[in-house]
Amino acid sequence: MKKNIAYKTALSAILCALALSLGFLESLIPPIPLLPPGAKPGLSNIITMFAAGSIGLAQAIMIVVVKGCFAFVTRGFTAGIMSLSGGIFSAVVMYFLLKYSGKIFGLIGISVLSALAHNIGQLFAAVFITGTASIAYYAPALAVFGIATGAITGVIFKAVIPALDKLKQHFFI
Amino acid sequence: MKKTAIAAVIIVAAVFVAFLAYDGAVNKEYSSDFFVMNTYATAKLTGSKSKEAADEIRSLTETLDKGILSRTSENSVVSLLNVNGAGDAEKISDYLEILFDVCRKSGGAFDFTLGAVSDLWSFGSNPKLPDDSAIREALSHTGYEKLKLTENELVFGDKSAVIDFGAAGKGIALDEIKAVLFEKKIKQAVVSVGGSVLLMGDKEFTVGIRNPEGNSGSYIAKLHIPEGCVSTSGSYEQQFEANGRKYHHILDPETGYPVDNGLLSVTIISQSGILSDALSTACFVLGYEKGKALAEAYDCGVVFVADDKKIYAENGAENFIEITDDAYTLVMQ
Amino acid sequence: MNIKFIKKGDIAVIGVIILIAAAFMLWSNSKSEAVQAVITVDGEVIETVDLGSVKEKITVIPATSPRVVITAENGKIRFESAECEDKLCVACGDLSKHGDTAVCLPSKTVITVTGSDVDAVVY
Repeated sequence: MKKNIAYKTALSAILCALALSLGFLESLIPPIPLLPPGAKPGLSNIITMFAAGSIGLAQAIMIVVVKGCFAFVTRGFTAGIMSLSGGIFSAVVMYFLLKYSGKIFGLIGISVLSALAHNIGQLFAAVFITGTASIAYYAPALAVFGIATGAITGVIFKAVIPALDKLKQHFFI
Repeated sequence: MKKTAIAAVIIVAAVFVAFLAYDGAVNKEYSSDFFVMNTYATAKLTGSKSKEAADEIRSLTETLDKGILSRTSENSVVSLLNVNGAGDAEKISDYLEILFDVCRKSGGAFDFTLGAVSDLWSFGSNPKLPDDSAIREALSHTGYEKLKLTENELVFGDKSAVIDFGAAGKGIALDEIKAVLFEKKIKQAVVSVGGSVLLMGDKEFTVGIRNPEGNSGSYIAKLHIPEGCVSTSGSYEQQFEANGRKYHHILDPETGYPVDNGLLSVTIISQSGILSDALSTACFVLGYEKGKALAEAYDCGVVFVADDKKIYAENGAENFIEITDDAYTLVMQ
Repeated sequence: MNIKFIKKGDIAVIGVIILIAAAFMLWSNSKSEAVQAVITVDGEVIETVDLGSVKEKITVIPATSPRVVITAENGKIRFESAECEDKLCVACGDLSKHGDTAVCLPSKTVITVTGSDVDAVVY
């Protein structure tokens, strides 16, 4: 395991790059009317999920931290904190679900719950930043939206697992 | 790997708890409301010293009123100046300079030397229609040009002139309050002194423009604005009826009578409290065209509400406004 | 990763989330319908009236000078009479909507209907 540390670092870097590019790609989608503000499909969660499921929690958290730092630098304090808070919480949830709940939930369920965790983390940060709990009233709308996005990322995840696994094999992990 | 995972979980949990504790300490919300300067004030503050700051705001506005601005307390700076017709104005000289500037730029539509005239109307207690001759006599002693401020010394050219900060006092209070909020490192604040509002913090605030026909909590339009000060002068305030006519408290310095130009209210958005307050009165007196130009000269957003239920938002205010009452229409230029 | 694509648990969890979200929405809606009026004298709350549940006429007379009489009925609250000079508070009329406010300066009495959706109103 120890020997592989260089490989692991390299793989993590590639996954980070993938997560950031997906995040950027997503930012190109124009805001969708009727949806709660800040609602996004969360494509980069696919990468986090892969890291959480097939490498480890530490790697998954590293990816979301890098994403958070990136948001911090490019979109400011508020976006940074929201991204970090949502990302870390969902990475932890993902990790434990993937590890222990394989008998109960499928990929779709885990993906939906992770999206939900992401929303909860973000809402928590938003309450923290604005100092008002009234934002929590967005929670139901975000939760329903989370089901949709979670399902979408779940489907995409299923489709890209072979490719990501292949990528992983190059690094002998 | 397992150890790393456990460590990561513990770190995340610790961060979470620290987050909660920090949040509780830093984002303490505190609301208070009190009566000061002959009006009603509210403060909603967020910060680690929010209660301290609210208490200080309260005592500060009380001393500002009693010690400086009040016409009814005998030893206030303003009262002493009025009695002596001259004197040390160091405590208010910065504000006086701003007010002189507003007087000049508004061509006298704003004038803080109207004290003798507004006393005749006795707004604030039991307003009544004064004798026309009394108004004319009082008017002969008004005029900001008769006063001179040199190195903190204010001298009245006419000893019978009476200065009155009624049209700027709430704004001055907001500026003083702002200094307290900075000192106490308040993160977010909404302070209202008699309907003049100070907004502070990194967010978009929503401020309602009072419904001229409703109570003081009902509004006809919303302004979505970042931090700053907002003041309104409205003809619906302190209205009374005499001889079958309605009179309000915004006096035209030219005639000594309430302004009658079809406006119901003027709202000014500014970074300065005193400017927002003084300009709202000045622009009300000037009316739409000239008022708009004055607000522009000070780079302030302005909203005019006219009695034909038309709303004019100018100098950037058009980007912030949202009409919420169907009876009113926004006129786009 | 050999996790199945979709399992019964997924559908169950999605159902539960939708149920909770719907329940929360209903709850928050019903909560915002409860209109409360708070009466304060010199900044101290002396009475809270749930306007939604007021059936019979309620009269509140705070210990103030000058004396004011506040009445609530049919989801509305108002300054019924006041012994001050200008009676501006009485002129405010009925308060029933979120954020409605009437202030009586001489007696330092304020009636506020809670739940304004603006940070402040300028007047």
